Amino acid sequence: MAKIIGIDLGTTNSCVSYLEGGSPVVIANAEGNRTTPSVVAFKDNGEELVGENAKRQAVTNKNTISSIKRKMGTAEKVEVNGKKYTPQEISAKILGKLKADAESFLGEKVTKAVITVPAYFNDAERQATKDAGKIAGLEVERIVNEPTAAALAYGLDKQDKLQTILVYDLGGGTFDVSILELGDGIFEVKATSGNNRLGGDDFDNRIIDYLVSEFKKETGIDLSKDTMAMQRLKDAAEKAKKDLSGMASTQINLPFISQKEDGPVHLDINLTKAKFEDLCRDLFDSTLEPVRKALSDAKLDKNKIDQVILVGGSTRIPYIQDLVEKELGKAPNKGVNPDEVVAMGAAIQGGVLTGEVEDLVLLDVTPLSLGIETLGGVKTTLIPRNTTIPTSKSQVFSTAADNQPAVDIHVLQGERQMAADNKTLGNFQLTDIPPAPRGIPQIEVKFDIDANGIVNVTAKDLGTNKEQKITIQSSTGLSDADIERMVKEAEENKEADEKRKEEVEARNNADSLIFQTEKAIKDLGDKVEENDKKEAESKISDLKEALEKNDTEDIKKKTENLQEIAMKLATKVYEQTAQNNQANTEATNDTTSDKKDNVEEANYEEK
Amino acid sequence: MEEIVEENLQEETTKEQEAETKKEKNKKPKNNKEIEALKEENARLQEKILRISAESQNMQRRYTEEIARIRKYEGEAFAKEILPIVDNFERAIKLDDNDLTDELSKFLSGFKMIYTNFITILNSKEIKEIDCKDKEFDSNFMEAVLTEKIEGIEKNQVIEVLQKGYMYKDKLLRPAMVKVSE
Repeated sequence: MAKIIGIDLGTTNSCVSYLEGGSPVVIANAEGNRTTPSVVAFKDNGEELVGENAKRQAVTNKNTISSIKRKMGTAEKVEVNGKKYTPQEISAKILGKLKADAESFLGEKVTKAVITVPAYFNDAERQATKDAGKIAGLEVERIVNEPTAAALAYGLDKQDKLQTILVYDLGGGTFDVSILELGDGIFEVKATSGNNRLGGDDFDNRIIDYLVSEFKKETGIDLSKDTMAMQRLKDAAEKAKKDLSGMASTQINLPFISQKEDGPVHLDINLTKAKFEDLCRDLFDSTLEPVRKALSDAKLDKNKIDQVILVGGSTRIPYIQDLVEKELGKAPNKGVNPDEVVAMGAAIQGGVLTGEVEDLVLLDVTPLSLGIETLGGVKTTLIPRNTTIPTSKSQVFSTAADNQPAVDIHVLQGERQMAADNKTLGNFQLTDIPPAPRGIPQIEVKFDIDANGIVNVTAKDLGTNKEQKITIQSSTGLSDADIERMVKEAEENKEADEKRKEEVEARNNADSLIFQTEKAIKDLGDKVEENDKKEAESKISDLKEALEKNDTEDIKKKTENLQEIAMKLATKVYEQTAQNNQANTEATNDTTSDKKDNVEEANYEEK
Repeated sequence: MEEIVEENLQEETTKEQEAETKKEKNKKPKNNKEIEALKEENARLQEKILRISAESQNMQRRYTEEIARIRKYEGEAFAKEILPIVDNFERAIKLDDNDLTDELSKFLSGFKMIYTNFITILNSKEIKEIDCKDKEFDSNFMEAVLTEKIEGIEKNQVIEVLQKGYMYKDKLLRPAMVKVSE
């Protein structure tokens, strides 16, 4: 069945995606990038360029056309070398490249597409977009609103109730706010607003201006006259902006940016997140006006908004995210790449049209990790969260004490490192383990989750094949909010939990080392030198003391101290075992040679 | 504990009995309509399985290709980040006036050696400079940032390389930034 590709035909950049195994996948262009500049160029020799290539030669060629989307639906034509092109013909060239890139990626012909347009596009603009597709050799199966596509990518159409969605789209050069109402799978646009001259470049320019003025203050040199220096500043500003989405400050350093009589001058400026926000605050805050306008046009109070979606690369800026959350009192949906979310939604719409989405077996995932409690109250995960079900996983465990007759299997669900902080799903015991030293019995614990989310946990003694199992009917019983809370708690407590786990591990290690050393002393009996024995015993008692005091660092130190002598003893035990084995082997060899003799004898007799 | 095991066993026997009764039921002949419906359902499921297998084979192929591509260009992101350091080395070296007696020149000659080592390593990793000096401007490998009209020079020629461009294997790593004649 032929694929329908989803295309986000943007003002500055475009993106193409398709549905694979039910999930949207972005197709990289021939140059290896996931978005393609919406730029078309006509060269004097008749050659046409689209994308990065066209953008790179823009200053040398006046017949380079960008932002054609702004002219869609108008009668305005672009004249190139005496030939007139309609906006849809120019757009068709961009679509043609996206189509060709998709074909080379998929290895098959592509003839059908879903293309997105801004929610405020009128009939003429939509028709022009559809025509552009046709010119490019694409049957446009559907024109979808960009905010609707974003909502589809977030799966918001899968909820049963009527809901109101606000989409905040701050892209490279335009800002759009749309309010949608979704019910029964139908999206209705309630209001749109925005500013078609605001975007990421404006924030970069604020950083550049700041760097230029700071540099001038420091050195008296005006970099704005130096093209090459400005180019370096532009790259540095963009990088700094990106860095500040994840860090509190960034160092911008551009060595040899300029020359003075007494030698080279370097630019070295620290830009904090707070300073960056100061520089752009008025621009950021100016986006609130259209948000409020859209709400009032839709005659909606902000608390009537059920979902907020962020689209466009600039919504990665933490200030913007906080601003939107504060204004609307609702945490925005995040997680899907904001540069690609619209194209992905278009691909999903394509899948709905081919029936691929409906046919799809919706496989669930485990919302939280599943595991069991192990020595010292630690949770050991067998099935991590977000694993697609049905699935099964097994792991072999052992006993913690000599002659332990039974093991308790405590089945847990959650993300915390200590067993007690997770939810208990069930408990059972595997009994009748034959007497054996600790660590010797092999108990296989198997988790099996079927497609309905029913969990079977089986514990099996691999020595006796005796097994015991428990079935947990509903592994969740948890609301989305519960799950979110549990995951959040785990994140918040990550450090503390890790410390506690480390403590337990240190104790477990110490405990097992004491056990091994004591066993070695016992096994060696009189073969161990009195000095070694005394040293080991004193170090064991040191470590035991540390264990009582429960000082992790001390336990670790004392464990290390004991390690050395323990090794020495272990080597002895090993040597002895080897000796014994050798003796045994010799004995075996004897028997073999005896047999051999017999055989030979027999042979001889036969002869 | 043992009791539970017994209970489980008992349960299993009842299940087995149930299964047997079910089997008997299944043996009963069905009317044609039911057979037709089942045939149709069967055909539909067959078709679905074929579609899913085809899709999964296609996915497999694409992933294999994608992984091969990622492997081939595995150093790309790192190489891209290294380039500004190469640029800065060159900016430093450019300060040399070729008078080998002064302190700066002595220092810079050491710098030049480090730079040469660096370039040798980059070349060995198939990261190579794009040769564009005096060439015709080609937007496949170059980005024009400035233009200038110069007497005696043809249109669309590279007149100055402002920042070197680099290839990584057969892929453009960074276009050269150039000044082009008008």
